[in-house]
Amino acid sequence: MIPPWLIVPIIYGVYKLLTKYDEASNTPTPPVLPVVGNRICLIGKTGTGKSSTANALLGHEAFAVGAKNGSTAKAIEVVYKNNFTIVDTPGLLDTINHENTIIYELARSKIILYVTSGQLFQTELDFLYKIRNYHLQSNQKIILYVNQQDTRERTMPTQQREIEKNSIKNQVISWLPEDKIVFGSASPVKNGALLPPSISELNNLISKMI
Amino acid sequence: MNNDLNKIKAEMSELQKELQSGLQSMLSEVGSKLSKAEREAIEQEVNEINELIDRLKTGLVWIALFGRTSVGKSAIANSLLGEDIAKVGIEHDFTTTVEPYQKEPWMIVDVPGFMGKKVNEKIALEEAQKAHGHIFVVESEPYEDEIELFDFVSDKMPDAPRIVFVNKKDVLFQGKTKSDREIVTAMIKQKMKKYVKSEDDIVFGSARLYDEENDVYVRQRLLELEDKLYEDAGTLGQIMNVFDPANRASQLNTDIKNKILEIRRKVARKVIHGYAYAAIASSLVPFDSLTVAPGMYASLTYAIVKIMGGPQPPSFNKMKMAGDTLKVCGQILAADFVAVSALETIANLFGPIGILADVAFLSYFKYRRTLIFGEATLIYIENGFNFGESASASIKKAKEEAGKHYNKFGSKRENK
Repeated sequence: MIPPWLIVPIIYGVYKLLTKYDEASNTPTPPVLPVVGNRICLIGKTGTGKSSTANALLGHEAFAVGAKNGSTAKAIEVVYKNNFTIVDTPGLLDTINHENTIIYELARSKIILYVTSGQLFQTELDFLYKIRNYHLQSNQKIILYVNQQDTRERTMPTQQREIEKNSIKNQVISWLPEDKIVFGSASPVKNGALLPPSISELNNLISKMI
Repeated sequence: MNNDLNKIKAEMSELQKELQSGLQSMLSEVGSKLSKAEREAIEQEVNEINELIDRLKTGLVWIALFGRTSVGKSAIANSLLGEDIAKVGIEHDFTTTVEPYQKEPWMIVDVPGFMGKKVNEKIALEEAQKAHGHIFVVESEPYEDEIELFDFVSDKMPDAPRIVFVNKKDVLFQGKTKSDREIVTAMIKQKMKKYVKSEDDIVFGSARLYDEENDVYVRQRLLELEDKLYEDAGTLGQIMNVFDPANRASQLNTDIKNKILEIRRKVARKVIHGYAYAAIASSLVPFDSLTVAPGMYASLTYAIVKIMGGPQPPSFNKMKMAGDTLKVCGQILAADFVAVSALETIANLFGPIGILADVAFLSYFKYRRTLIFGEATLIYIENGFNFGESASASIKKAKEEAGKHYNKFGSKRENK
């Protein structure tokens, strides 16, 4: 019947076909199917302040932060509360592509905290849309956290700020409820001095979920 | 100034007509012998030249702004124009339309980022080619997709004058310590410097600033960016002087004069290349008769004289000048010029079979001949309508220049 040496190529072919089909239907296949655990995974494009946000949630500086984009090179997990851990991931859209690491980490996390500092780029929306179905199936929860509001307050008129907030909400309105979108400042600075974080909205939301 | 500009416009229009009718009559003459692709290639050359002249005729500095929608390209346009012409708003990256804003001496074109859309890639390239110079706009360290856009444009047009403008400096620096500012500045420069000639061409600024008291944005003048645009050779500002030299040339330094000359040469070479392309397809006219009735070459001579500007001798006659130049070229570069005539004679003798056998080789020589002729004409004009004492040296130089400026000059295969 089928010569034995053909089996491997056939399997590979079928696998390729299947993964291609998956791509077409926008359902991502994580590299390994990990077990979803009590993790809060922070993702978002590089330079939006994921590490600062994680530090603000923890209340101490567990993750290194820097002025440069891409200061976080690999995923790091730190113990949080209620048996939860926080996973900080490298940034999306960085010059170095970390997408595989990020997909792996978010696939095994119960809560996904997407961090942005303003409107989402088209590439980010595509990425979020790609992982959305997966989360719905696996009972994961997504939060959209808009960071760096302190900068916005000091550089943008109120009206424009409101317009921007609404436009961010509109970007994800079709699949993310409004109460899962929160605004804050993880590491507000004034004249070079660090002020205490103002992320109570985010804290409250997470406390309700874990 | 307006008078001068009108005169320039009129001259350029005349030149366009000449080019159009010259190349069109050639097409109609030999059109049946050409394949569809060849016809289209020639038509495209003609269109590109036309567009180039159209742009120069406006007397405006064309600048294309590249960057994602949210980086504030509209605000920058408004700052440069000194007026709120461009509508500033919070938009998504979905736009696919090019927005041109015009106010003398600027023509500022807001090019949409392409975000993985092939349509936008094509638009970006078209706008990049039309513009005299590009401004790449970022508001932070560039993200992957921004780099993709900038790489695409700069790969396609490596020589275009270019400035990187880092907008929203106020947001970028807000609350940061001095050392953090330095780090951020260094990182942006490191990632963006490959697009510009020197790090000085990376300018930081804010097209608008937040006025806390009145809770509104206030449009800013971008003096440093404007300075860059107007600065000496290597930037864009002088281009506005290209066809208006009488008014301003006297105040300009040598660098800028050379720059203008360089731009004129560039346009002339574009036209020469168009003619060379057409020459490949032109009917088989023996070289001897060309020197007597140099129709196509006369029209090319006229075009180059117009483009190079400057005073013409009272005795200027395009037919005579083209004929003379051809003769001198023929005498000195027999291999390139007379060989083609020998081949042509053979081709004429043997009729269609001869043509078929030698058409590729012949085309190659015709293409080369036109390029050398064009370059020789350029030298002749720049010498004050004279080949000087050593015509031989000038013609040899023309051949060298042709090899330098037209990348297909040396390859036979691509000229078919």
